[in-house]
Amino acid sequence: MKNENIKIAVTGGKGGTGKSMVATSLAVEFARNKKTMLLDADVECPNDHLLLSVKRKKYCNVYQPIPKWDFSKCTKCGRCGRVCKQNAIVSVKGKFPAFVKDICIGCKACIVACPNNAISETKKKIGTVYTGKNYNVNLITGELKLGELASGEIVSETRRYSEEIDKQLKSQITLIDSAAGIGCPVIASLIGTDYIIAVTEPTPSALHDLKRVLYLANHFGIRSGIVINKFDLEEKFCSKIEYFAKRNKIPVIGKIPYRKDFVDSTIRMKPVVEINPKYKKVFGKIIKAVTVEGRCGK
Amino acid sequence: MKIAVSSTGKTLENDVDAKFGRCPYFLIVEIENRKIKNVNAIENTAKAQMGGAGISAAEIVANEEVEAIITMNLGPRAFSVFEQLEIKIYHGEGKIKDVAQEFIDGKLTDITTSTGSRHRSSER
Repeated sequence: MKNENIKIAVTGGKGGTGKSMVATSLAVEFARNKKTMLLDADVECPNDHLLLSVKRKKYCNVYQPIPKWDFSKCTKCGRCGRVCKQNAIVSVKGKFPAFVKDICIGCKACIVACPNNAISETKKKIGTVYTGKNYNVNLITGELKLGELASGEIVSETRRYSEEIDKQLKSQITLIDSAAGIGCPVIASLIGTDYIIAVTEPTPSALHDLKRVLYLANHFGIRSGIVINKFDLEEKFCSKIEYFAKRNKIPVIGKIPYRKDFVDSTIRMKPVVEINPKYKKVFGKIIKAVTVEGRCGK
Repeated sequence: MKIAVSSTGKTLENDVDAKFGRCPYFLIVEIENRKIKNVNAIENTAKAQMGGAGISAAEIVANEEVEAIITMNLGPRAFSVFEQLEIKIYHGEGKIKDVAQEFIDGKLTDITTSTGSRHRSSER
């Protein structure tokens, strides 16, 4: 068997299905007998520290390269403006280029294109990485700076820093709580994981989005399992999801009921298993399924 | 000198458009000896752009070699571009013919901060 670190992504497509609830609950349960790290990769609106009452501390800033002009070398040729695909550089005949920092994505094409070496590299802050610990779970949170665009970049960087931190921690389990959707930040959360937990709920919109996220999992060749949260809200539609899962040979690894305990958990900022220990069984089953399935995939 | 005005239409009879980045036309007004010498309407091709319309619009008018622009509101990005290109921004309201005269008479106040938010035709 390879090294004992299993990386599990928690995703689902639709927002509000309970991804963070499942991720934090699993983290708390895993942490009872395994070194566990939880990475909050919902960098636009990270919440896991609130669900687990973690006082986070700033670990580092995340930067992105941006260009800087030395006008004494600039001949106003306009090449930097022409190569900028983001339209962050406005070059007008006879004038030095104007630069709009906030839409620059740091591709450095302008630096390469400048024939006079007038452009050098500097950086802008695009986000922050935080760390914290509670319930024996080591939490690492990435947070995008407001107004910035590169949420996928923050996820990747947060994962890179988490590996740096993990050199000391040596976690056996890394849980990655992804954002909703299937875009860049979600892809950055899923790649390189051993198992994908897709959290869904018995509604048509959730199933629609679930299909899209499972397509991604399949594309990356990562094993996946479905958790149906709030399954008893609409049992008829729940069986429709189970039928879909069966037809596509994706296991339903957990079914979580809809109870006030989960609402209380969010309000009181405590994991649901602390509110009512009876849910330990549900998450224990998911853990069993993931660790068995996750290993088979290796 | 040349100035650009965000306009609701193609002539001096039209009004100053309230928004710079997404106005339909720019009137390029040429002024000589305190008189309007020439007027040219150019379409704002950045109008329907997904994002960054202000930047593209600023580029369009800057390429017309204007020394000042007149509008009612403009976003932070367009504002920053004009600032860097050293093009002055003035606030004008009403019929462009009258506003241009006010400009000539030095009655317009300049806009020193961004007055509009960053708008997108559709949110990301």
